[in-house]
Amino acid sequence: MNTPILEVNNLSGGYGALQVIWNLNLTVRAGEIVCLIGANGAGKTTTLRLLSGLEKPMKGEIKFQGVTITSWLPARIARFGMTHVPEGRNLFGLMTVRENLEVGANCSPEAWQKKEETMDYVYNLFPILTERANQLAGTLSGGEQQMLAIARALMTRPSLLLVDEPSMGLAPAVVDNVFKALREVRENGVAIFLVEQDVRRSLKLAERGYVIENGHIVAQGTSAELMENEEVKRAYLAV
Amino acid sequence: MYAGQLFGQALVNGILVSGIYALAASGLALAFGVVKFLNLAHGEFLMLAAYFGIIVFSTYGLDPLLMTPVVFILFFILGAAYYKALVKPVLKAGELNQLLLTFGISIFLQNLALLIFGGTIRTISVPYRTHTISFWGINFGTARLFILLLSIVLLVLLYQVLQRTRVGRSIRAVSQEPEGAALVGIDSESVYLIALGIAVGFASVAGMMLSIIFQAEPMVGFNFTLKGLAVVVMAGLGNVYGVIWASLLLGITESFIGVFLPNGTGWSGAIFFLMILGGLVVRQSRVRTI
Ligand SMILES: Nc1ncnc2c1ncn2[C@@H]1O[C@H](COP(=O)(O)OP(=O)(O)OP(=O)(O)O)[C@@H](O)[C@H]1O
Ligand SMILES: [Mg+2]
Repeated sequence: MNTPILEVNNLSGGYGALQVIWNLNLTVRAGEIVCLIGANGAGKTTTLRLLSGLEKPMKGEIKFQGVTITSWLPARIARFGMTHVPEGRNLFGLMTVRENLEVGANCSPEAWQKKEETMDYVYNLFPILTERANQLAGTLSGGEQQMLAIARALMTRPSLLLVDEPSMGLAPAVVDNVFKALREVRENGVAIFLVEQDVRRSLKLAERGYVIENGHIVAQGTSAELMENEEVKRAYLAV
Repeated sequence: MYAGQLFGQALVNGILVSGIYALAASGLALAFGVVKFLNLAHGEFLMLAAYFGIIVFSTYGLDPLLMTPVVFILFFILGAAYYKALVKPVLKAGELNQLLLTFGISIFLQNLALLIFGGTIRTISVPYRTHTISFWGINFGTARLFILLLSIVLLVLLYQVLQRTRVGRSIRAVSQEPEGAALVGIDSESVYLIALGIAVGFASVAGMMLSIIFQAEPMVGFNFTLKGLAVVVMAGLGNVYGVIWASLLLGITESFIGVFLPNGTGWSGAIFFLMILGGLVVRQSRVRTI
């Protein structure tokens, strides 16, 4: 459980010449949930985009499963076991739920081989998707789309899942559902790096967390430590 | 001829040529919808294949339609090479550069053909070229009928591949959501390569058809690029499925104008231009309502 699966050293990056992330250091260990919390515009999404290869880092190093993947293309990173569930979900709107899942399983020969098994697993995780199997992804409700985005990512058989604001725009009951699923995913040995606005809820779910402000990590620790941190309490827990 | 018969004949003629239009346009739509690339040299691949068919027919007497699989594979490879060598380097360079490049390639290939084959009009005189069969007083050119059937078979095959196979799903995934596709491990490079391969492969089949039912000459390709554009614009840019009805509309309109307007045959060749215009106007209003 203690081997680091993701190690990020002095990572800097942004968009074009605009630097958003400054000397980021973080670690995720196999099978744990780590959350990244921060205000709007702090650089959470940008961090995930750098990790999954959607943006090229300016400097620094990303090591995943012991291999330096710093300038790899997104598709290669996904095939290597780190799958990003993006903020906008990026589903294939004109394909059915089932087809979206099948495309996810296309990721690697191993994922394709275990397609049926993984599909049973994600349908179990999100039973509503079974009912929607033949519906076009673009016609799903927001909550169902979020579930499908996570399910599609799981079809790639990742060892690390990057999840960006899964609760965004969802009703509380649906958020409960999604968080319960994420907990189950971890119990199956998949590590999760979670970006979330609902700080209290994500600290409850995660083992550890990082706090990002203006592109800098300003605090880190176990979830219990962060819950007691005065700064965190004041800025994010509003107590 | 009765008016009803004339009407029926015009309708049939329009339907019979629409298959070749649909083949030519679906390649253009595929390149646009998947690679987001407007290939102004698309028609030149038809022209090259037309000459290829003429040479093979005159040398070996082989019916071009029977060579469809071989020609498709050859031109698929040519399309893939075209992607690697010329398309890929300009994909990130912006639309204007893409248009300039492909327009340049188009003119280059036209002049190359002029140099090699000369400006004379050529055709393939398959034995059934002028043969017709009649129903209810309406003539169906046998060659055109074969060509329509072959087009339908190929388009159905394409749709089946897109809908039911792994590679087809990957192609649609990249087309609908390139970033989402990358994030689940789809290599867009190979998808682009395959899409361009299929596009040029389909163009080549249409090219051999045109050397049978129309005439090959160095400029014939660009005409098909323009007509293909009209179809693609009408279908909704990049919509591979809409190509069918848009091709029917183009074929039938051309035919009706040719038959019913005085001096109509002169006008029918230009009707595609109106359709581009009409298509753009409709699309504009459609975009606004979203
Ligand atoms: N595509 C882009 N081009 C230029 N700047 C961008 C782009 N995307 C984000 N930014 C800028 O980068 C900074 C960090 O944005 P980011 O999306 O990473 O924040 P975030 O922490 O995810 O915020 P939120 O909680 O609102 O999702 C912001 O100042 C934003 O304006
Ligand atoms: Mg964000």
